[in-house]
Amino acid sequence: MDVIEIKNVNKFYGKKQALKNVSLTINQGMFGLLGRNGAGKTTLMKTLAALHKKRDGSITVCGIPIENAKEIRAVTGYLPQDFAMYGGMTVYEALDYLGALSGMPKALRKKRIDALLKRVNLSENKNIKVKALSGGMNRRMGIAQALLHDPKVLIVDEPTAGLDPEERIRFRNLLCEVAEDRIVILSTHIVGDIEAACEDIAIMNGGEILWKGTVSELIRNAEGKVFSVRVQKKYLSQIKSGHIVTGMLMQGDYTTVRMISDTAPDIENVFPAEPNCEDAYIWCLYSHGCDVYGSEDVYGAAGGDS
Amino acid sequence: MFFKECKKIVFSLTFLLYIFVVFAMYISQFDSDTSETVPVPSAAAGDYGYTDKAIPETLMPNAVDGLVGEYLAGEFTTYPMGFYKKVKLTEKKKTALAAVITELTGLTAEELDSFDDYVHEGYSYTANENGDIILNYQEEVIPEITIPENLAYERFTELMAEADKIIGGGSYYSKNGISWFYSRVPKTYEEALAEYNHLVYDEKVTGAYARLFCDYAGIDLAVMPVFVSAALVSLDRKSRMSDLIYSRKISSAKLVFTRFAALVAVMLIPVAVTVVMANISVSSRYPDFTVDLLAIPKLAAVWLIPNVLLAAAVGMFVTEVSSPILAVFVQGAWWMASLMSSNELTGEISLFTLICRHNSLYKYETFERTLNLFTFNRIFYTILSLVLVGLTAAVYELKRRGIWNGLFSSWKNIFRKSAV
Ligand SMILES: Nc1ncnc2c1ncn2[C@@H]1O[C@H](COP(=O)(O)OP(=O)(O)OP(=O)(O)O)[C@@H](O)[C@H]1O
Ligand SMILES: [Mg+2]
Repeated sequence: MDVIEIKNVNKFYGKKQALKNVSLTINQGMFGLLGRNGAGKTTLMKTLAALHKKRDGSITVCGIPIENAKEIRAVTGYLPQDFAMYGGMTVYEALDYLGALSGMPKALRKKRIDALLKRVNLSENKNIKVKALSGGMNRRMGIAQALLHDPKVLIVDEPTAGLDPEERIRFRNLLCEVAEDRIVILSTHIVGDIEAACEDIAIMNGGEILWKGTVSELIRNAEGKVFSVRVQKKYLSQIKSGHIVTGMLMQGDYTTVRMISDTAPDIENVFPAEPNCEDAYIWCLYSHGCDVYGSEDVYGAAGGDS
Repeated sequence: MFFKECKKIVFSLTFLLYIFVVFAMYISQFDSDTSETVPVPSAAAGDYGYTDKAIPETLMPNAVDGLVGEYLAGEFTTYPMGFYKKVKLTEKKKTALAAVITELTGLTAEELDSFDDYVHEGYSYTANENGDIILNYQEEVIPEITIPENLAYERFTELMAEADKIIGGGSYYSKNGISWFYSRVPKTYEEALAEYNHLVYDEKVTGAYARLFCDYAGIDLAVMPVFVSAALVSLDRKSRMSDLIYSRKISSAKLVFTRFAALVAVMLIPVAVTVVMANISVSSRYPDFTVDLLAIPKLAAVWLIPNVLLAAAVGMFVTEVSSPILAVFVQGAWWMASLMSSNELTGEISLFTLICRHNSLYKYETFERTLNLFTFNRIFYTILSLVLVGLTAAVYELKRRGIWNGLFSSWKNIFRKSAV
């Protein structure tokens, strides 16, 4: 049964609590983990890959308790956020090395590596040194190594960071394909990735799961909370200081501003707008009392308006 | 897996350094020491060098003279850990030492202290009436000493050991000191010839050369492997590859032991090459004798492999626990201490000396005498190495699961934070 069950997990770095009572059920398909810097995404993913020790709670991956590290390692593919490989090896050698560490026989390694390199579009680079790869190529090689032993669970930590848009789309598509027959957990703070690729998501903040559900639910939650207004540029800073702005479009002297608010802001010509995923994410943070954009005032001002 | 690790090691910079040192040591020490064949002693020569031989009749008076002289001078020369050090005694210790001297000489403490005529040995310069500088040698003046007739050699050795203990160790009266300073006697022709025959016939030449070879090679092999193994272990962290490897299926024990095996195998290759070179150069210098081509490889295996094992294991363990720099530091300190403590370069291999020395083609007897100790010593280091590798695997697993991050890892975080 391919499912990850996380129940009431707490984790500390020294005194600092990095995961607070996290409970999640992750099914087959693509699962998105969204959260700002320091939210605890990497911590949760490392815990799922048995690289971190939780303090309490329980985790099972495909029925295997997380304490059973050896079996967990066998079914998990992990792409760390910050990773590299032996720079002096060629792409093929590095993958071959990791395949050997997964206990794959030589013939199988060769077959899988060739197939995966083709899939991630690196076939032509298989004999160049790892240190000569570009950032994007490195990420692609990272996904290849994580898929090498055909894991049931794939954990990828911010794989799209630093990729150009084209590369990012390719990468997402690849992950979607891969997710057809396994669990893929993807973390990111790029909302677009989640919107395009994931069905189920969880939003983390300060080590807690703030919200979990599907992308459409997230967007539905923000309905009626997004507004748009066309104002002259000189009013821009005024609006920015009083509202949570999620988008701006400059058009000559005028600017169209998108903002989120519980009730319609007290500005002339404001009209409701369809929420997009990004609006919905910010709304979710805001409505859970997070200081969006790092300003308590914003919350106060918005409250005053209503 | 094994060959992949070997390949990583072979192409590492530290291994290049290792090869360089191994060959440099071989060429500069062993090869240059053996560039001449040992000459057949000729009856006419008359001078056959010295040998260490415990002859109580000469040894006892000489050593006691030395002790009394230093006692009267109030200063003792010692070589603790091989470093020169002057020692002055407290009153309490002086009294204790006087008691030892009393038993050795029959002179009481009062007699000793009332001996005002003591003059230090030394040189002085005086000018004569022509203005020429004249160098005068002054012999040491000490009381007339007679060693009691009934003082047995065994009791003498015990008393000397006690004197050494009072002085603080490493003095001329330690076991090593006595054999080094008071046991030198000229070899006779017969002795020299017997020794020569033993060398070329009983030991088939290479038997003796094997000890000299191992003596030199053991020195660099007790420290150089630490560089190679620390570099291999820290490469994962340095390449930011630890997490990728951690999340693989392989067991920590298998990974760590495979790496250890690869390290040892690769590092023994240059050693094996020097063994072959030694065989060739020794046998080509003694064309008239049947040499035993297996003597050097056999002894090298027993003598040198434990050194490589230990230095490699310490490198892995300390690097995993803390850092490669600390590993080099720890093994370097151990190496230094071991090298310094073996101030006698032949035989008397003690139980726990890491670097066994035998800097001579002769003195087979000393080696044979301590053969059991030597065997035990080598087995001990082999087991210790394997235990260390086992511990390394345990530490690796703890780090892998995020249970423990290693010693001083928080220091690094502090540095990182303050750097941001
Ligand atoms: N090794 C560590 N020791 C102490 N604190 C840590 C450690 N790793 C992470 N933290 C802290 O735990 C919190 C969560 O970090 P985590 O790396 O999981 O966040 P994240 O969501 O992955 O962030 P990002 O988007 O920047 O990658 C942060 O406040 C971080 O400072
Ligand atoms: Mg992260």
